[in-house]
Amino acid sequence: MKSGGTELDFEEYAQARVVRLRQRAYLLCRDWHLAQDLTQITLSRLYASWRKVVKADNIDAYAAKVMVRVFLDHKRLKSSHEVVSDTMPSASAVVDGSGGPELRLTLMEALGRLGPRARAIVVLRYWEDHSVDTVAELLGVTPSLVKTQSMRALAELRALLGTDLATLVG
Amino acid sequence: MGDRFRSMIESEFAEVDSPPIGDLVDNAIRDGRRLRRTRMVQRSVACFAAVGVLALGVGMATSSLRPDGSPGSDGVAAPPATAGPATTAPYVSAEPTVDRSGRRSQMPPDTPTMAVFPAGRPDGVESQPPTAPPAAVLMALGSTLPNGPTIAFAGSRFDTFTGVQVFLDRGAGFGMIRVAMARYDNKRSCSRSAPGVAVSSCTDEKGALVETFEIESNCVQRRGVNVYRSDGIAIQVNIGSCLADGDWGAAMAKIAVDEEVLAVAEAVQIGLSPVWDERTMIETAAKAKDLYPALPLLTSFDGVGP
Repeated sequence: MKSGGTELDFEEYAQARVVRLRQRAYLLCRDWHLAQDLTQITLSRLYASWRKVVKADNIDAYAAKVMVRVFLDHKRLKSSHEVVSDTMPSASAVVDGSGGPELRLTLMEALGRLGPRARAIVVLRYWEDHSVDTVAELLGVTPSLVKTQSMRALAELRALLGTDLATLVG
Repeated sequence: MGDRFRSMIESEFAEVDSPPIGDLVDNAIRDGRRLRRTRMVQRSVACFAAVGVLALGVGMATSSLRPDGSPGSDGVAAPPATAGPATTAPYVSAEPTVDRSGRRSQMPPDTPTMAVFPAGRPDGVESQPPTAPPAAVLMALGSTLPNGPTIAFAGSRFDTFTGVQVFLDRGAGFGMIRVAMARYDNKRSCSRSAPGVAVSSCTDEKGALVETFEIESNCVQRRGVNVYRSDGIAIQVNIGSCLADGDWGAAMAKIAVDEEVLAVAEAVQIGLSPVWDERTMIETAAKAKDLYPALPLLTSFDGVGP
């Protein structure tokens, strides 16, 4: 998306992307309140640098970089460890007798058990479909590190999901 | 894996209850504006700080050197002054000097000087400038001078003393007088003569140590007196045989004197005068500031500038 540097352009961009940005934030932190904050911080930083941002080739990638770095900084500053609930977020989601929703919730829970950077790599790599090089650039790490951590993260997900992983990657 | 992973996650998002977006975008814009303002302020502060550091560096580079070679405390460039205390303006008193024939000359940097209250005495204590501002010191000096028109007022607070300047005309033309004032440790002794400096006497008068000196090749300190008083105040009176260069006004058309404008004995009496009382000078500081509202600055005191 290319647009001018006006406030109207920013508002248009933000309204169009805010849901997706917040979903990414939620996948990263698995907390809707924190996801709301991460999204707001990301958008405010985009706004503050909007004239520069609109000159970037890929505004979405720029926004992803801002959000991931804010998230990782937050994790470092807080030295926080997420407490993953033993209960499912939504009881209605596991009612499906086919096992689909149960698997998806298990996947999200499993994702939440990865380390912050590994989770960011998985989200950027497999949910947002960024290349290894792009993910490396967004995170400020080397491509080889992205590959290594991707493999480890997938192995961890496999261990967490057990046989369900076959359904996931099938 | 990507497509399957994505579709599974997106399906879940469709099924879980997510809180409303609310005013998230508006709040982000509000925070963004604040962030932008903060960055602008930070940039402005950084710019001002950089300019300040630069100005400080330039100021230090152009400030005067004390006799021991260390930098003085004043030295801000300013517009030229005009004659008379009421119309004076900040001015960096330049050296070269004007000799008795009206020629301008530059004293070489190795010109001998009498240090102003030199350190390195047995007690090793350096002097301190008085609390009173230069204008108050100048006003006190004015009260001790013989009758005659005065011009070329200037003064600066240096690291170890406050120095002031005045040109006095007792009928034969203007002569330059420079006085330094400092708070000094009561333990005192006579200065040892430095090369080119002749300490002609060192006596005890009225409980004060008084030493007189002559410097043949330093027209700013051609003759002078150091007075170390029992109240801890030290006064140095310098009698010049030349005039500091500067735009001192129309009165400068009548320059030069055949002899120094003060006799050494008169300089001693100035040093011993009770006017050098700090408390009185502080009390009269406001009046002094009215009298010398924009006192030009001295970049050097002993005639050998930076």
